[in-house]
Amino acid sequence: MTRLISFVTAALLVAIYSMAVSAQNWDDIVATAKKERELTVYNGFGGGDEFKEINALFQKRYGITVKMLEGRGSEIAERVRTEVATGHAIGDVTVNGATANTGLSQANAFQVPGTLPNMSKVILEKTFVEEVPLFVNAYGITVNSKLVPPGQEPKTWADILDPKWKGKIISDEMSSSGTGHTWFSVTLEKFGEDFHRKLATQNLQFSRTVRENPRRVAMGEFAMYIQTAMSDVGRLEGLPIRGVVPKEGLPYTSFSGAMIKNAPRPNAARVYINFVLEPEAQLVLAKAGFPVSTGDLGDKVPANLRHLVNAPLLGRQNLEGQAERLKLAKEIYGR
Amino acid sequence: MTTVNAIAGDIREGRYEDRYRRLKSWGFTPRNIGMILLILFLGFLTLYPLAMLIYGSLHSTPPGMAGEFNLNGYRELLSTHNLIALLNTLGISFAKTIPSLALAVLFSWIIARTDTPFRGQLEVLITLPFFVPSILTAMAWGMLGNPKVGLINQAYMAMTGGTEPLINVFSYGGIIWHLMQHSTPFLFLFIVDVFRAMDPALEDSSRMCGASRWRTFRSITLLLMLPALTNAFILSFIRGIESFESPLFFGSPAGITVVTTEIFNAINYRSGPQPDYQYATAISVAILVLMFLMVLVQWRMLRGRSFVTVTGKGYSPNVTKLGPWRWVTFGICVLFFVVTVVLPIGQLAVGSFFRFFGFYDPSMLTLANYVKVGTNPEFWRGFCNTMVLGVLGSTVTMFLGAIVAYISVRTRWRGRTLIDTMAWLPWMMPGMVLGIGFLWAFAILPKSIPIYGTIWALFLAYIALGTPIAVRVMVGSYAQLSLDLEECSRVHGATFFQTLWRILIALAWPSFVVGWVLTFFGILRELSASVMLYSVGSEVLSVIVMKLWLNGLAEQVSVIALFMMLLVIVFRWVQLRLLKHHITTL
Amino acid sequence: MPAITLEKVSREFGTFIAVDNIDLTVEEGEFVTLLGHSGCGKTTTLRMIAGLERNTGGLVSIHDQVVSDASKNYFLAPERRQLGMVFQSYAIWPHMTVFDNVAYPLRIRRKSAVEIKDRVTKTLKLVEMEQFAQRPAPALSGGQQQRVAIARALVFEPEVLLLDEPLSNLDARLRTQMGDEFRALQKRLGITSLYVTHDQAEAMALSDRVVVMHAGHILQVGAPDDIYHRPRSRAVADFFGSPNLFEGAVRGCERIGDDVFVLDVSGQGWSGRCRADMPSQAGESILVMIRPENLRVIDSGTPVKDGEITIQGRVADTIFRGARRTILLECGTANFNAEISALHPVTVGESIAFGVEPGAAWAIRP
Repeated sequence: MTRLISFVTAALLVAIYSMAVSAQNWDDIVATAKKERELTVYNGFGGGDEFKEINALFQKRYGITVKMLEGRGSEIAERVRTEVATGHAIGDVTVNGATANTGLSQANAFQVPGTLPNMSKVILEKTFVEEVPLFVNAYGITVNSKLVPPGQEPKTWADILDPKWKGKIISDEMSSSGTGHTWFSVTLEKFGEDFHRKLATQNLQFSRTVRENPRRVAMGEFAMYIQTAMSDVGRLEGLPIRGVVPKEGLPYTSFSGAMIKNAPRPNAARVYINFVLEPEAQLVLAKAGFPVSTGDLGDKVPANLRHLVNAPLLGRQNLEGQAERLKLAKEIYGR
Repeated sequence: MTTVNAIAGDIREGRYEDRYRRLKSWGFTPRNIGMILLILFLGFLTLYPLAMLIYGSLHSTPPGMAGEFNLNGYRELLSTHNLIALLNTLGISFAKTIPSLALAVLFSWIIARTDTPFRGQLEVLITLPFFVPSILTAMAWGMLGNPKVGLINQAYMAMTGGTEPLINVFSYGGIIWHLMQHSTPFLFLFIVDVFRAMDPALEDSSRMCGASRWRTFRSITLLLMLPALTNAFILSFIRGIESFESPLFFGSPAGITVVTTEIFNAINYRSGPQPDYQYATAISVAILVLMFLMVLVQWRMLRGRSFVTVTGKGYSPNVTKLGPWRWVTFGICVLFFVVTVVLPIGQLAVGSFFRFFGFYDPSMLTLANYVKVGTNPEFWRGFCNTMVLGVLGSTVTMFLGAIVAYISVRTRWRGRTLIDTMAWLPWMMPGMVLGIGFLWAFAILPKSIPIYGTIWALFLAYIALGTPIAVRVMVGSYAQLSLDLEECSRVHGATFFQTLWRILIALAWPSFVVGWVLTFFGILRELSASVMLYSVGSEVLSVIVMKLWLNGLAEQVSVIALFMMLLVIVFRWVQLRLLKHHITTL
Repeated sequence: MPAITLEKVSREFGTFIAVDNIDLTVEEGEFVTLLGHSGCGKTTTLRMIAGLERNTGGLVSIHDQVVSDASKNYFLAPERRQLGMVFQSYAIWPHMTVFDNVAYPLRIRRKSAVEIKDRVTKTLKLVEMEQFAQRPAPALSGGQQQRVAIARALVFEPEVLLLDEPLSNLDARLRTQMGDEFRALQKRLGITSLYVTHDQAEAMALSDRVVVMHAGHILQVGAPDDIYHRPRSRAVADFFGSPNLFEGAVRGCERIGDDVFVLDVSGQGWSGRCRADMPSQAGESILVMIRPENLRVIDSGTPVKDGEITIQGRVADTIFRGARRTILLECGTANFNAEISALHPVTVGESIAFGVEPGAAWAIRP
């Protein structure tokens, strides 16, 4: 018994001590980060101005200048990988989609950021060890308000199989990786192959210009677009479209931050990643319509976006077996 | 004083004579050293990134990662799917280049050889579509030619009462049509000066031999222009094969796959979280080999057939009096301008004043897009960077191109075929992959050579990317200048470089200017390498446009596009003014 | 029947009149040269006959067939005029061989392969180029290109041959040689030729008749000898060499034949007789043209012939030219020059007297 008590006491002491040490360390890290003065972020997330806003907030709080380099996800990833592989590290942090960042993790291009104070608030699960999930892009439906009167919109994903939508659905390409394929993978896992075999008879119009598709719905060319990034709904406010969340929830892609191996400014990198998890930064993302990784932000989110930001999430793509799934999509949809 | 100098000179020469002779016996003449430096420089710009890509295609992982050498990338090429993609690509490019060439010849003839009214202005207008970023015209045509809601189809259905759309841009026809809008002015820019510069006596003499105007055009004019035409054809054909935006926009919805979309898929996580660079680079290398074979065939076909059509005598080209038909030719040009510029750019212009492109509700009228762009410091920084890179880059590129072209056309020096070939290479590599080649090549250099991460990376890549065009333009121009002009200068005591400068550049300078403009706007549009090489602070306009596009801000992109159009018009106007001035003072 | 007739032919470019209302006939088999400085309208005239330029006024006929009539807006295209033409730049097509270049007019006329081969070979033989038949055109020298150009113009046996400064791109020696060769060929074939040049020596050596043009007008038409020795105006006189022109006044006039007059004239420091082609009144002022080579030195021994013009000048400078010596002389306020035998000793500052036969002095209306 005494042994047990002494063990527990010892364990408690160790725990308290380590917490104190980590708090102590964090202050040191912040102080050193400030001395590093600046930081380079490689951003492969093609959002709006959200990260510019977050960077400004970060700069205001810590006095550290953020240089941000943006590009398409795969291009940014290749720059990060090449820099690490050739020892030319310029970037400190990268923000990118799950696929690109998982690839970089496998390519040994990241380092674990250590304990971040805000890490405990993250409710999304990690896919790789160095990852810090920041927010997700969730894919729901946009319907044309005139072609689809209130009440007529799909309530569940199965509703899009209704023959009345035949030829009226625009979809992102499912047989090449990207939004459409993510959606395909998740719905395949949740609803089975049969769901897609039926959907294939709906005469979907495929397109690879994701940003254009909600506009084509708004134009009335199609009644609905089934993989709309929910963040686009708020952005297109004013156009005759509505965002719809089927009750099973939305397939999503998570966007994460990671610290690049041999980052020239490691402390600033840690502080930055931690900062994106701060409520003020998360709110910037939520206001843009992205479900964030630290959970519900309550009534700080504008009312019209709340149901989108807090929409239930159906699942995300399992990166294993992607090649086979791409083939399957090709076969089902005859692409 | 003169004696002292002469003696000093004797001593100097005496001292170095021996050493010089020895160096010379090893082949170290100034000319050879110059050639070696040129070969090294071009090799660094073209062969080196290419070598990185070949490595990538033969190695299971990209440079810097553990892996093994194998042929998997190439093995994967051999599939029916890829064969279809390849045939699609070749077919589309062929189908767009032929009519573009025909149109370009027609326009060149109209502009350079007829009394069509306002041809000075028309010349500027016809070339405009070349300078509009294709992503924007794609967006505009996606709306104009949309089978359901497109303006053209709606107008057509309203007029005829039909229910079937007139056109559908999401088709082979759509891709070809969209590519043609870009390649027609491109080819025109290449051909028009050849038409303009031809000695009219070559045609007059045919007429005096009893040939009709049309017969003369067929058997003299066109055949004389054959080297220039095939050159332009091949450039445009290869560009067609590498085109990406049009197939992505208009081909994907119709399920049309081409080589570039295949590459794009491979890079974009075709099989899990690792981009498949081995496959992507293998396709590109295969394309390069294919294109290279084509160029070889062209070289063989045209061996020794670079025709001198410009002689020392100054003259003005034959102008055909069309009578009332001149209004028909005028109409054709205007029609082309309206269809390829006014319609799409009009869309952009109108769209730029609305909150959402394509939704023309008066309540959504706004100037916000202009304000956003105007107050975006990144835009202005990108603009300044692009202007600096563009002006310096295209000037350096044109000088390099002028020298390479000169050596390959006008000398029998050893290594001239090598440099000519090297200068072709960047043109034959799809941009997306070439950008990666540059990234690998520059990043792998030791840190003591600070290119990666600096503005020099962009600068060097732009030179490499612009050289093929620069060389082709200058080759075309030199080939037409009679050798006498140059020999005359050499005989009159000018050195090699003085000759190059005084005579060739002076006479070839209209082409030089055309090449400069092409290169400049090539740099302005260049995205694939830019996005791989730009660094924070050295953003360029194309990257900013791409970012706005990715962010779904098509309206702001339109504003920048209009701004770029304005720039084009100013540049072309100045260029043509300079040329006109040059011609009148000749 | 004249081979070429121009009646009141004009060519206007906007407000600029390149050719102003000219009349000209070229007879069958004749070699006529249009001579003038650049910009005088000679090439434009030739091109109007060829049909490469459209006349804005007047009428052009070839063998009595009207090919262009501005008043009726009638214009026959150049390819239908059946004329041969040689261009200044030769315009040999670089994408063809010599044979193909020459065969081109025959191919246009759809002749049989055998006939083409036969006639091309024959024509190439004529210009001594038969061994170069398969040479690509760019591999020819200037003189060879010129021969090919002539062969091409002759091969379809045109009725008239037009030549636009065909020798101007050749060096001086080759120019003389080619010129002589061409003249011989022309005489042998008897082909009507209209030749444009700015070189007076070439014009005199080759032509049956020379047409001197200036600023779109024809100044004078005549045989080379006529034009040289009996110019009708100062401009024509100035065209050939550097004639001495002395201002003088007519003292008397005598008709000695059809349109040939002898004038008794005097000027400052000289007097004597000269010829003229028009009668003059006493007291009328005229210019007397004396070519430098026609001034004869009068030694103290030699007598002055009857009616000879005598003139005295002080030597200002002398130029030795090998065969001749040119002396620049001062006579009062006027200067003149003389060409004399190089053997005749001359010192600067000495005074020399010259005599000129009446036949060598020619009166021009100022």
